[in-house]
Amino acid sequence: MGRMSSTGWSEEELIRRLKANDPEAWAEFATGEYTTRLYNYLRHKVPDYQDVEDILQETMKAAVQAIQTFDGKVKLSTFLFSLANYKVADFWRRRQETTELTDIHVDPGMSDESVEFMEVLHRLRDEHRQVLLMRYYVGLGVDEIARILGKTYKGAESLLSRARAELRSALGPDGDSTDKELA
Amino acid sequence: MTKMAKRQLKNERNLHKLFATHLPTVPMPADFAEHLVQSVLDEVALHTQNRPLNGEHRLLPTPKAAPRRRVSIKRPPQMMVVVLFCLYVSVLFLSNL
Repeated sequence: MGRMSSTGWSEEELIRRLKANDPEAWAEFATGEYTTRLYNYLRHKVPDYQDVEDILQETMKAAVQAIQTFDGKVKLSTFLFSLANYKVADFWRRRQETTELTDIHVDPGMSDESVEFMEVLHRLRDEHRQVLLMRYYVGLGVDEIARILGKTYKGAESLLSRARAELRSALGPDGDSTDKELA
Repeated sequence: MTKMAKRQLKNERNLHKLFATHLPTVPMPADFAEHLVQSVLDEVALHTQNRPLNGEHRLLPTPKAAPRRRVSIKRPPQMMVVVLFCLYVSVLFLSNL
């Protein structure tokens, strides 16, 4: 993820403004690229849109409270996704459900192949789906994923490798044409 | 770049492409985005009220600490210790007679 601000602020400048509680910066952050990506990521983590919106709202409020302690040693996206992950965990704890997510969000106009791909993705182990979404959907780096999940770099790499293997196996030999070159 | 690294890079690209093709990024609904911004700004306002920022808190006078109550442990005078010791020794001596 590159520059995230439509106002042209660098990440450092945005962080400085967020820490100063600049309303313009917070409004920008709340509707910016990271938040939009987080919104999309959450759509694959919780059952319905209302839950997605509730968690996103809780995450942003937590970000307002936590930004003063943010030391800038990690990217803003890592900070935001870490907070969101706690909120998702809280959500499932509140629900007292240990079952994996079964409903998928199918957008109107999605092709059959895409619906099929989503179904395959949702059949994967939760942690595998999570790590694949973070890496290939949100575009987070392995180092960021490691920090968010509280793992070492090697641990995150190994998890990603297992997740790729499960996806490859779930897609099968007749899977999507774009997957044919997956080793 | 080794052959294996090239292959890995190609796989990474394919996976990014696969996810981008099948899981398009949708924008947040406009009414929700508006609501989100408002709730974030409310939280910022609440947070700002509770805690002065931009180093302003450093300009506030440091509250004076309450005067510390000095508690001293009174030690028995050395002379008293000597007298008590002598008494103890004499009692021991007399009891042995």
